[in-house]
Amino acid sequence: MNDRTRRRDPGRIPDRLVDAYFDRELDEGSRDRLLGAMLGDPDRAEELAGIRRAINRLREPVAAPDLTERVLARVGRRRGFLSRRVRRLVRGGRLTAVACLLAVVLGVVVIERIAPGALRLTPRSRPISAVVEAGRADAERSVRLLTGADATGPDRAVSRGVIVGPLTPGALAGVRRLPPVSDHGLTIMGGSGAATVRRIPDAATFARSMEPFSFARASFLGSAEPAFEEPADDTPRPAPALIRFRGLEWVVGGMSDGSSGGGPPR
Amino acid sequence: MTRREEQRLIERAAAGDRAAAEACIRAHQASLYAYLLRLSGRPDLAEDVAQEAFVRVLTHLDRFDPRFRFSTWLFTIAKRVYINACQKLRPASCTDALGGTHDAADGPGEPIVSDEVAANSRDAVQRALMVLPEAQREIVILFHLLDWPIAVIAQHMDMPAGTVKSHLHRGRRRLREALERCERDAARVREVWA
Repeated sequence: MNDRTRRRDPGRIPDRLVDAYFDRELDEGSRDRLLGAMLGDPDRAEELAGIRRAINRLREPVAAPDLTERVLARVGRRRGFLSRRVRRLVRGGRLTAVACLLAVVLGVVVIERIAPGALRLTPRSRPISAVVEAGRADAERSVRLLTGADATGPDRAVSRGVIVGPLTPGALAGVRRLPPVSDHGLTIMGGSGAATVRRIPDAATFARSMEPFSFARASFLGSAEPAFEEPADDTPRPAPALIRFRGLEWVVGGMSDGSSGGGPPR
Repeated sequence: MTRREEQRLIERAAAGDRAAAEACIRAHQASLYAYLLRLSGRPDLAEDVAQEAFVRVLTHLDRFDPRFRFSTWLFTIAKRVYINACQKLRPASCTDALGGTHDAADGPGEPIVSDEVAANSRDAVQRALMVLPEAQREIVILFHLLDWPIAVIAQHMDMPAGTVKSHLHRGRRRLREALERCERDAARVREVWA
């Protein structure tokens, strides 16, 4: 029986209404009207009762076996269950880990805010042109320092070719640019006498033994054996001298009392 | 059980709480077994499949998507296990047997007469269900036995809601006819052997 049947039998309740009834799609009013209409359609009423009976039979409970223990035993073998105490420990551990992570993140944020870049482990990458430019700027600044342009204290005085104050080991004398010297030799031109040329190792220190020719910081030249002999006590102290070393021209000399200070580099 | 309670229970079970896992099983085992029994008509198979489905689900609770109902997930896995089991059991197919409700333990020594009478009278609705094509049978079971909404059934069956409805309507009518036929047969058998 379907809607075609209904066209033949206008009094018959349509299939779609019966389906909607069993699909629980009818509201209470429609349901009452359908049940009322059943009185005039005994075939439909019988069909409806048959379907209702089948559904009721289907919904009768079946005796289900208890699978709980068997399932739990198998699951326990596969992944195991944890006691309440262990579960608490695990949960506590997770919470602690999360708290630590949050604390670290918070600490990093605070440090970055107070001192930006303080936590940077590697230098910030820069374009090679910037590196070259920075190197050139550093070199120029070093030269300016050596020529005494930016020097202070004794170094400033030396920049004029005169050492003022005690010439202590490590005091920087003065410098002028010269063409590079290929043999890394050192030329000392005494202020009054003839020029004296001595060869010294690449790295030499002129501390103490060369006083008052001490012209370089030990840290600048590194350490090596003295290249000059210690002058005798009665030897007159030389006048300021010009020293060429590694392409730089140095003016050194002067007395600790400043009586024979040299002039500008010659 | 509300969705929230169910979710908490699953979280506890996933964390290794045995009691929560037990509660999950107890909450769903009756409906799952009934679904599988009505679908297959074989109590032994229904029991095995239900057990295997629970084990798989409880072992992989971390994969559960809380947007869906736990029962939907459980029944989907159970159906997959059931299909696999049916493929293994062929040619003694799960869906063949009108006599599928016979206990596997029934031996040849059982009195044939009483067996037939009992089988006919015991579970006529199961026999009627086995007459339906599998899709119709499953939809009728899900809708009328488990009260699943059409939309959820459509999702579970992976078919449009309209198709689910037409299967449901045809299945319901066929179930009534088959049940009446089975009951008539059962009454006849009882009359003959009375």
